[in-house]
Amino acid sequence: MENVKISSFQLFTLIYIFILGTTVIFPVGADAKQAAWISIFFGLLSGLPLLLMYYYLNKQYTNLLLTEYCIKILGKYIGTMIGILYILFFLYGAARDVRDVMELTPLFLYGTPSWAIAFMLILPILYGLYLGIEVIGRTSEIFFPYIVLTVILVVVFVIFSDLVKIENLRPITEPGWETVLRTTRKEAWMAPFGEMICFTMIFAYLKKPKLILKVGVAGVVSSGLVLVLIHILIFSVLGSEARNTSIAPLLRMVQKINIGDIIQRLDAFFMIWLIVNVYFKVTVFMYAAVIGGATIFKVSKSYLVIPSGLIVFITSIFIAGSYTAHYAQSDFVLKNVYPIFAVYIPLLLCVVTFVRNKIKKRKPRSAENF
Amino acid sequence: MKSRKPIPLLKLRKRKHSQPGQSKKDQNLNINQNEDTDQEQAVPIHLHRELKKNIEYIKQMVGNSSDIVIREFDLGQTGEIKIAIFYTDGLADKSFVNDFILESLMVNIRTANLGSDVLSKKNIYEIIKSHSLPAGEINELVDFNKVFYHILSGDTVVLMDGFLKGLSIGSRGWADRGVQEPSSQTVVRGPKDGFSETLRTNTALIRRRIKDPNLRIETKQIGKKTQTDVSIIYLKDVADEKLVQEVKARLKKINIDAILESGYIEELIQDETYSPFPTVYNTERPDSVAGGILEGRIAIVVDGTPFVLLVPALFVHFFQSSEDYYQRADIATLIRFLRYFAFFLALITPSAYIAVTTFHQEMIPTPLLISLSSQREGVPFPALVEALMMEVTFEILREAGVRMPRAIGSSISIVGALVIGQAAVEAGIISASMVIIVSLTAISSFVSPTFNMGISVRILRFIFMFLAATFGLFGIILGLIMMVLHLNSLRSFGIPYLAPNAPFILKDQKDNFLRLPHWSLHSRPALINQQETVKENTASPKPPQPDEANQ
Repeated sequence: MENVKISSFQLFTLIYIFILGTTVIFPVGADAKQAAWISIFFGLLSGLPLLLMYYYLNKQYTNLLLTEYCIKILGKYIGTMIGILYILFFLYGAARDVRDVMELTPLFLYGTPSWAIAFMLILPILYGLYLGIEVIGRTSEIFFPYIVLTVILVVVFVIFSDLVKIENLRPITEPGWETVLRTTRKEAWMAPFGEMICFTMIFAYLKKPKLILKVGVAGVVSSGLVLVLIHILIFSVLGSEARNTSIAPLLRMVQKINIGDIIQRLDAFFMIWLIVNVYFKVTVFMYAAVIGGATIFKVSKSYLVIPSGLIVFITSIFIAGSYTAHYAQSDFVLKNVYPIFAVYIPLLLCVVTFVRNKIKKRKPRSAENF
Repeated sequence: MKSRKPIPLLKLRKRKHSQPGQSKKDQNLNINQNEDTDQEQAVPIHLHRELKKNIEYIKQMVGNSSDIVIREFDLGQTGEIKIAIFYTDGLADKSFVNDFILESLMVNIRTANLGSDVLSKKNIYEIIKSHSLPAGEINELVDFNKVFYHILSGDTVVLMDGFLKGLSIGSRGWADRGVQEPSSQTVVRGPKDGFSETLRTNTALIRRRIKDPNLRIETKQIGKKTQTDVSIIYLKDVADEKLVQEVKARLKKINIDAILESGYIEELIQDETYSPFPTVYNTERPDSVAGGILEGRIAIVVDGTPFVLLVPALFVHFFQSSEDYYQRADIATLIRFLRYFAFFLALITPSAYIAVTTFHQEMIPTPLLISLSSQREGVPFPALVEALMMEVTFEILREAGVRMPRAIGSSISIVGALVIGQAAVEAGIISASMVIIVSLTAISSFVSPTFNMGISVRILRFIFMFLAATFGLFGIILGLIMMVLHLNSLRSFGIPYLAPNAPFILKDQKDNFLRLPHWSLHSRPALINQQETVKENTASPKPPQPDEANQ
């Protein structure tokens, strides 16, 4: 663990950008048709208990990272093994997000090979990892106003371009509540909100550990609501059919912006905005992996930066053959693999800790009785 | 307001010595009081009891240097006391040496008609030291290192036969440029005086602005050959004690034989060498330095240069001009925003042009795209080459303009404007739009109130151009992220370079991008300043209540 601290505002900005991340680009929850935004909203709601769980764990072991208290709770061998699994999971998550950007390459740099894009994206990430979480936190603080202002601008532009058609959202629950909930469980729950597990590797750096829950909830709720808002906007502009079949519905919506023939074709600018989002998302994932490796293998973080960068780079290229395969794989992973890491293992850790605490508390009492 | 602790009388008396307002020469008083004695020096050679041997040694050391004046004479009615004075012609004030040292030693002592029992060989040293030298600054010398230091820095040294010690009399006074208007940072409104090459003048300019006994001016000599006086100036109680110690420690570490300009010191004490961004601020303006000291920063004044250093220097400091505080608050705020905007323009305008014309043509509105491509039709180069050619040409022009004698300056502008601007377009080598882009970039890079931030932009601009030519806007944004990461990794004397933006400090936002009115600037910057943070308590000015009698 690095010997630095980050401020609560920095953590907030990291969480905010992380949640928006790539989820804002892709047609999340396409199964739920025009009710996908409700799925995301439910995802937000069901993400909060996860946050509570992570907070509980961190509260028991302040100043320790997930990989460290795994060992404390489950013992040296099982704990280390689970820690290594987590590192692989984080690396996979990072690679998946890099792949997301690679899939978008033809939309903004036609003709550039997508591996070059991945390579260029990973370079500043490695530089950031090398400099440490303090610098990453401060950098997210600098880019935060830009991220927020751009969203506000887009909302304003879309409204002023007269693109919003409320009827596109109706009937609100056409697919039925069951489908909406199933989509939540399948995609929207894990995709941005379950990935918050990365922050168990970062919470310990907070200057005021008491504020973790507050900052975490504030970050998740605000960015979750922005996410919902953007998806409502996309639906009302594009309609459910166009939205769910497009690779990047957000870009498609932005392309439609046209105010007085002057403000138009902003999609390239938007691509930049997305890159900043993805940059921080991948950075957080990779940071979690690198710092986890550093704590488990007891080496300096700097040694792990380049190897993990290589792993992510190669994985992101060979993870899937095509966009469809990537998408199908994402579906499968979000449904089956993510919950293990984001829900079940933390839950197990929570239960073990809880029970242990109970036993510990009872012991002295029983000693008194004798 | 917090009441201050009463200052013990003893301390007050000590401080009196460093009060300003005496004659210029008397200010030399405090320069040697704080000399660091533990400085690395050759093993001191003590003075000899015989004057002859001392003179021989000095002559041997300085060789035939024609500017070292050695004047031997005899003292007393009978002339049995041998005495010699040494000074450097040109560095010492000749009239002062003649009128106050030579005259009192050669003439006045004789006319004072002291009895031969008083003016004896034994107590002549004490009499000269305490009674007969009408000079403010007198030091006792025992070894030759000090003797040479004082002679060569313009003081007059008096050595007497039969004593193991000598005297140095402050007589520095040399041809000086005087206080002139600073040439590198001019203002429309604000004081027009600038630092000069003499350390004493510079410290006086600062002292004149801050008449607080807590203003400390501590001097030491750095440079084994040059023995350059370097002063650090700070406000005790306002500057962070740890910071002062850090600056002193870093200065102490310097082991170099020459300091010719404050740039030497800057490079030797800065936190990060491999960075295009400056982490030490330099200025020619006494008001900027005084403002910095009042914020709790530390000034480093180096003899022989008008450029005074201020540490710690954060990113925002390079975008603040002292004039911001003299203008109306709203205007100052607007101008600050303009500066950041210009910084951004200077950084990425050429690269954005390259990115848009090479990769993202769809971003340009169709009529503009048509006009742009018709301009570029005859141009045989890709946008990157075109931009590089123009940027390099401009950099050459600028460099030529800086070094060129003023008389030839006008020919530069003719060559620049006509040949490179107009003719290049007409010849079809570059497009007219590129000329506009380069001019815009050039003008924007001059907006920065400090010269060295402008230079960093010049370096980075080329990197951004290459990124844009290979990856379009994607490359630019990655470059920007890298740049911000790098800026965030920098520290200036332990303080994060991008403070108060990252880490974000709400309290300091009143004097960051914004410059709120003076009555609302209650506190000093949070990170730099740890103690005595309250700066003022003026209430906001309100118009007088309408008087009933007047209505």
